[in-house]
Amino acid sequence: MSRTGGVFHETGKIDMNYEMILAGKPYSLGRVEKRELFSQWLTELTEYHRQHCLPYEKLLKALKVPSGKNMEEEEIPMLPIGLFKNMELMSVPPTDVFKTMTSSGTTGQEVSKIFLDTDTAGYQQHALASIGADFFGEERLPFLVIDSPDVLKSRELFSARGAGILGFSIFSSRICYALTSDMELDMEAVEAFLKRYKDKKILVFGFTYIIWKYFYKALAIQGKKLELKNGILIHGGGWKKLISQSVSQEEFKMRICSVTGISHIHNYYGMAEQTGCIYMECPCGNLHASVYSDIITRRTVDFTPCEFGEKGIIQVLSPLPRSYPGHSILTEDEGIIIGEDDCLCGRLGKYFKVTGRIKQAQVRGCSDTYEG
Amino acid sequence: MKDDTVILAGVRNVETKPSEPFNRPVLEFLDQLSCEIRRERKQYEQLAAFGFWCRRSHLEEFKKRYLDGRPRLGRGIIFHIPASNVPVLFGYSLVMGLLAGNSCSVRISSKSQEQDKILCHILERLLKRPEYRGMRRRICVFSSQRESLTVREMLSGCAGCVVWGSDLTIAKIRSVPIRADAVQLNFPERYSICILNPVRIGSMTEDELKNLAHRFYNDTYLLDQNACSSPRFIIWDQAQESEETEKTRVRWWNAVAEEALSYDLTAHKAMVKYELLCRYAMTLEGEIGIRRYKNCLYTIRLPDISSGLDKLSGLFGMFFEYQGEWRKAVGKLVSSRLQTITYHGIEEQDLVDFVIKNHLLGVYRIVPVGRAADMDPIWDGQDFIAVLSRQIGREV
Repeated sequence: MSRTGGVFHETGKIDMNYEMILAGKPYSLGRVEKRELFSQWLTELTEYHRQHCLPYEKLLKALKVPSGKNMEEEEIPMLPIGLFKNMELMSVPPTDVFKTMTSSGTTGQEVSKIFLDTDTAGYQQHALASIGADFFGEERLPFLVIDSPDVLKSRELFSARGAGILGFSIFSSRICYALTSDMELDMEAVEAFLKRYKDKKILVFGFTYIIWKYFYKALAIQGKKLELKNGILIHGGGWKKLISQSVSQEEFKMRICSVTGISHIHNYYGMAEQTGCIYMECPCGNLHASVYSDIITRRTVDFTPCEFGEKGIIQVLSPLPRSYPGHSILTEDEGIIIGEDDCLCGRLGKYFKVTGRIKQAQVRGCSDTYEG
Repeated sequence: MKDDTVILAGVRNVETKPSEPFNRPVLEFLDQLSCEIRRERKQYEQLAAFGFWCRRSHLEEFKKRYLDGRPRLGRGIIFHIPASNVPVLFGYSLVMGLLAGNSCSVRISSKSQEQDKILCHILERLLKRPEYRGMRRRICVFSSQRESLTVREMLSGCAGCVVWGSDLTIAKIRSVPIRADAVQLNFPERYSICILNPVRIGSMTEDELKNLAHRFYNDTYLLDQNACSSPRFIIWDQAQESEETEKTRVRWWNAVAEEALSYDLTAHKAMVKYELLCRYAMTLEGEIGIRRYKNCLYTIRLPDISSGLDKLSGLFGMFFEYQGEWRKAVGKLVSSRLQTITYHGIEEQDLVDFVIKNHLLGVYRIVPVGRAADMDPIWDGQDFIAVLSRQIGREV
């Protein structure tokens, strides 16, 4: 029995087999099989959160989502991502929360708060590990983090930036932080690290904008070139800031290569609200859904699912979030699903492109008048 | 302080001397403005409506209200600070100031809407004509930063100012010193409601229903349901729920949803609206009933009216509804922020009597469905002409 919102619930009824979910290879499920499993898992999880998160239960009731009905993946109710910003949504007793994750909101913005218990955190880490292994092997690698070690200082309340670093550090044999606490490039430390692991495969990780601003630009200004030919760069965290500086993905890759020699560069799409099950960019330039999550794009007019090739609002689904009701989230991003199971890279699952944030338009009305 | 002032129509320094309310040069100029707008700008909904509104015959009707033999004169220069996100609102404010016998300076946002820019353009073109030389000296429409020197100067020198906006905006403007004898008209945040009679709506033909739904659409969706006068709350005036009234409600909302198909629902609006819906579903007390008509229209039915409901706000076509006897409902819903009641199937006089007899703090306008956004010299309980002019008292 567990206690939520003053009500006791039976928890024994639902026993999703996480071992089974996590056992498979990350890109091994074909369409038919994945659909069936996801429908079943996500239906069960919807029921679980209904019983363990009071506001979520109220929502389902108000939206008239019937209890005990087998839902298709498309029918699983969606939680708008903005709700995590000022509501505290959890499906475990507060005492079970072992980490509170925050999104990497820009200064002044409200951040999402995601409550993780040890199980959910473990599932998410496992998912990340096996996605990573598919791209750069099982072997532990020297790990160059393009960030400051300070990001990890507060363990209780840590950001998506910290989570990314911690998550990827499971692939590391040894870690070097490329930036100081003042976000300055620590040339000495980096060069020593690269010298030590000369000719070795090196994993380089960071947030897109931080790599650009504090790593690439610092190198470019100093006119330095690092010896990182054997590096694999993984970066994520959105293009919004770079698009505002008119930096395209292609240009990013080219410029990074010009100062480091890295040619293996993978962007990924992910969010604090569903960590672990990130969507990695394959050598064909497509983002891939793994067995740990799925993606649906939806039409503005009625939220019906888009066809492949049609741009829509991105919904992400994952059976991993158990300590908070984040298994089906409507994001504020738009994208295009290109296809499923037939990317030339050979990975199974849907593959897609993110076209960007939903564009905000000026709202009419009399409430805010005095701007600009 | 950087001065980034750009004069968009008229002259920077306007005439300080007042003139008579509803004087001929003003009425003739506005009539010409009305003709120009209506001739060429039919595709812009709000601009076209403004053009129609300031036609001569309509303004003459306003004039009649003040033909009481009492001598009046304007005050001098009236400074207007309209809300930037209501298209052509500045036009209405300007016309009120001119009709009252004043020169008018208007500050609009540099990020103003397309329709505002077009209106400025038409104004300026007219004001350049030799026959409107006199009018040109009475009008200044400019854009500038909100904290510009020009705004401060205008505020400190004007004989009166008209401010439309959020409570915060009004508080900011109020903190700037103005002349001791200057008058101030403020139009702060308000909310509005609508009362519908299910029996009357139930007996409507399809055409009548469609027509009413269209008028309701104009009251709400045209301004993203974000204007003070856009109803967010619908009261179904019925003592008891029946199968019949339930059917009427569904029929009504289907008709509204049909009209809402022409609404420009962007992905951003759809997201914001869905998030708002979910948030209310998760936080409101009691058994609420949600209906979604695609993403065009959401309705949230409340089981009860409790206090604090004036904080609920719809947006982009999201309405709260409640069924019950309207007197009880209005009595519970009212606050000093309740602006407009639109109605259908209720007697206007009954509504007015109710407000008066019960000494309600709120309710400033009572108009039929479809008239929520119609501008009148009496707005928010205040009389533009009376406040922006002075009456010369004499012994009778």
